[in-house]
Amino acid sequence: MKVKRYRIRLLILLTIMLSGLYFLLIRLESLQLDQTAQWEENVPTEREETIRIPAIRGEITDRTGTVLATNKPNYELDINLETVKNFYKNTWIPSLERETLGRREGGMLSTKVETNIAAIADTTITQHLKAFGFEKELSARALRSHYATHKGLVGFNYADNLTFEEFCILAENHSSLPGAEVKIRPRRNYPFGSLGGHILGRTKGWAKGNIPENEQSLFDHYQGDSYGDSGVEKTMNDYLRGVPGKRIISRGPKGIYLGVKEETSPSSGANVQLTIHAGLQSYVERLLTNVGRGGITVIDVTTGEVLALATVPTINQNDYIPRISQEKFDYYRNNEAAPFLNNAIQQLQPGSVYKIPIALAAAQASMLGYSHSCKGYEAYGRDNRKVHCWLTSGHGSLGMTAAIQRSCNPYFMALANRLGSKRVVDVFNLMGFGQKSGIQTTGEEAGIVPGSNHWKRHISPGSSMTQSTLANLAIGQQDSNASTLQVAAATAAIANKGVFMKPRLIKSVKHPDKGLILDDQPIIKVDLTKEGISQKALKTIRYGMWRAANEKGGTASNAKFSSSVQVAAKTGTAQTQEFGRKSNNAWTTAFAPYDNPKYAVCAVVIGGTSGGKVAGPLVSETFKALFADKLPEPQVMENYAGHIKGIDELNLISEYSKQLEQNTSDN
Amino acid sequence: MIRYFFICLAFLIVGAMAQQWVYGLDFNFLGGRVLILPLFFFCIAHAQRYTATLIFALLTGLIWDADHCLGALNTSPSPDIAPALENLRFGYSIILFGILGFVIKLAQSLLPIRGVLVSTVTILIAFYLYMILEAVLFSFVRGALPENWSIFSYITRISLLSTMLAPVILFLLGLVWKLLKSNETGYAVGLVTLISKEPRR
Repeated sequence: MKVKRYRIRLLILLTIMLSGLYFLLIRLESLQLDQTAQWEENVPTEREETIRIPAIRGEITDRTGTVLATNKPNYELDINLETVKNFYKNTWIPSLERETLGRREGGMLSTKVETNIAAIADTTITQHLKAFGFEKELSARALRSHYATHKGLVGFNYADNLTFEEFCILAENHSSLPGAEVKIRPRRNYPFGSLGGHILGRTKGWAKGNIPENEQSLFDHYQGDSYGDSGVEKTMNDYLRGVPGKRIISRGPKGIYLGVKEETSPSSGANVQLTIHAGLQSYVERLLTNVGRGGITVIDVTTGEVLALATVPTINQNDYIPRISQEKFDYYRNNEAAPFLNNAIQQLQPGSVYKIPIALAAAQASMLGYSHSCKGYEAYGRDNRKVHCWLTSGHGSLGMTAAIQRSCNPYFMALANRLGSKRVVDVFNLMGFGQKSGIQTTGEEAGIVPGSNHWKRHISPGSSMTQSTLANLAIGQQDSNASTLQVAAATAAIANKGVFMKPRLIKSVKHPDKGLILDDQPIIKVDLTKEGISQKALKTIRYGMWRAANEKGGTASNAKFSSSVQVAAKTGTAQTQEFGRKSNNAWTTAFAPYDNPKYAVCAVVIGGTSGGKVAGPLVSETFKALFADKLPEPQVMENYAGHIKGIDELNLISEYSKQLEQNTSDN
Repeated sequence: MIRYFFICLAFLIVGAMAQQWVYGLDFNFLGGRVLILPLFFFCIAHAQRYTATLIFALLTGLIWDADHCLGALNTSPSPDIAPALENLRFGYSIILFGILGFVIKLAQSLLPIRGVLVSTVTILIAFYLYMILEAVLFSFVRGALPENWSIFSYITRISLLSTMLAPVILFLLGLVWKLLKSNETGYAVGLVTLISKEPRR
């Protein structure tokens, strides 16, 4: 009887349990099979999400194809926050949530509970990463913001610039680091160090949230490209940046990832070829390390191609990739020699090199036959303020070529006043002074021509051109400002029989798929012979410059470099003030060969006390390389910090000096 | 009795170890897998009392979920993409094992016959029930029904393959009981014979 009663109880219990299981199965079956149509109507359908894949940036090469800016593989560690969260959810018992203040509702701030992804990441992965030696303080705000925006579709960048060994450690231990992904991404690199750093410029990494308006509606998840922040990287950014790729993924009704629906790989940007010769550029930069601050421009007079555009102090743009360290930043910021300025294209007081446009203005007015007796000064104004010649005893009676040869100030001051300010300023404008040349890099300054509209409006409002102001313009003093590029371009125009070629830095732009996008075409800016300056007049000016370099009493004898190739040159020494004391800018501009000009070189040394003695040797050594059997090979350049000390004289002996000496003795 | 409990526990641990070993084998018989740990549990459920069965359900469920729910999310399938499918929550199989262990005990108590053969058939049914419940729960959580025929065929293959080892384990459990407690009655007594009509307590 007892056993029977037990059996009934057990039977009832079994029936209840099996009935429970049966009803569970029936209910689930009903939900999933019978009511399928009803639920399917209610749930959102499959949706697509578009992820942007950053493009690959094109390269920058010199005129011979030497790569000056490229991309090198960079090992990075990303964390997939969605994976981290799911791992945590299934592993750790305590729930990590945080309360945030939401929108005001009826005057009260509402609170919202959300996943505390920062705490989860810290508990789940960063502790493990620290154990492997990848210690990093993460910004909780950045983590939350990234997770809210991208969930698991775009990895959170935890560390970059990993060494190959670190990359291997992470790859090996990948399975024990939930959500950790090691990736290889291209990163900008300048293989020749500081070579042409100012010209090339640098790129800057994409900043989160920086999404162009035209792309906002195209992507659900945006990973931007690095972009050109300065130099050619900036001016040619549209060519270099390439076309981004696109990955379209599909998600199921519950937001479950279903797979990649479509993927387009990113394509590389176009390659930009510069007119610069990397070997010459590195040689000229090495020459400039003999001075504290200065710049040199080398131009091909027949095409306007800039072969070298060097400046010191230098900048190694690799220091900024991906971001500059505090130590490096302090090194650049605290340098009194101002390494951020490009001394080849920034405006500086030009001194006597401004006498060349005055000579052109005289040529236009058929006044090349003008002669003047230099008594050592010219006096202007009611108080007869004297503006002295550099030779205080005076040069005596001079014609145009002798005035250029001896760089006589009173001659050009008197000539300018005879010509009148309008004619003088017009010729300066014609020669590109007081305006940017449009060279395709950043940091170029327009220069100042006293008497120009810009000068009247912005530099010295309310002033008018007095005799004294015009005299100072004629000798490149007071407000006058020009860059070596402008002076070299003007010199090249005189050398090229009056045909002023627009200075160019970009030779061509080629796309790997589309081919040639931008062709190498010399552009004539102005033909001086059509502006009333005859070939005969140009020849006279060239002869004056030849006399300055080759005849006794000429100021530019240091620009000479060989007995077989003759140079024509003009020096300038501008009196300036900096750091509360008197200083000078030493200039020399020249072209060679005299008979059939090919190259124009202009050098400036800030703090150089004599154009001929300081800038002249730089020009001479540059010509030696230009006319050597073989142009220099490019070299990896170390950063040069420069200095602000004054320089009285330069004695340079480059490898080309020795070679030339050897050739002469052999002959 | 307590000694027999610990021996069964040792059996379960051996089962868990064997399960890991089976994963390492490139074994794919007709597309099916051998579920060693659940099999050991179902066998032990035939040899233990109600309370002990529930304790074993807890242990088996813990090991099973630790093996499946935690390990599955260690890595993401693609660098840019979140882990694919949703999984069942940790602990679900403790409940499933508990229910099925209890049902086995009830069935064992009510059936007029016992023995290895009867228990093997019970285990086959338990496997079926377990797999079907799990499949239905998975499809409910994931919101996507698998193809009916293929899932039933898969469940059949797994259940048959896994149950093939049941007689050996049951016999071993019965044998151990006999060696330890030759004079006492218990659930494990009947496991040394194929079919027995006498219920033993």
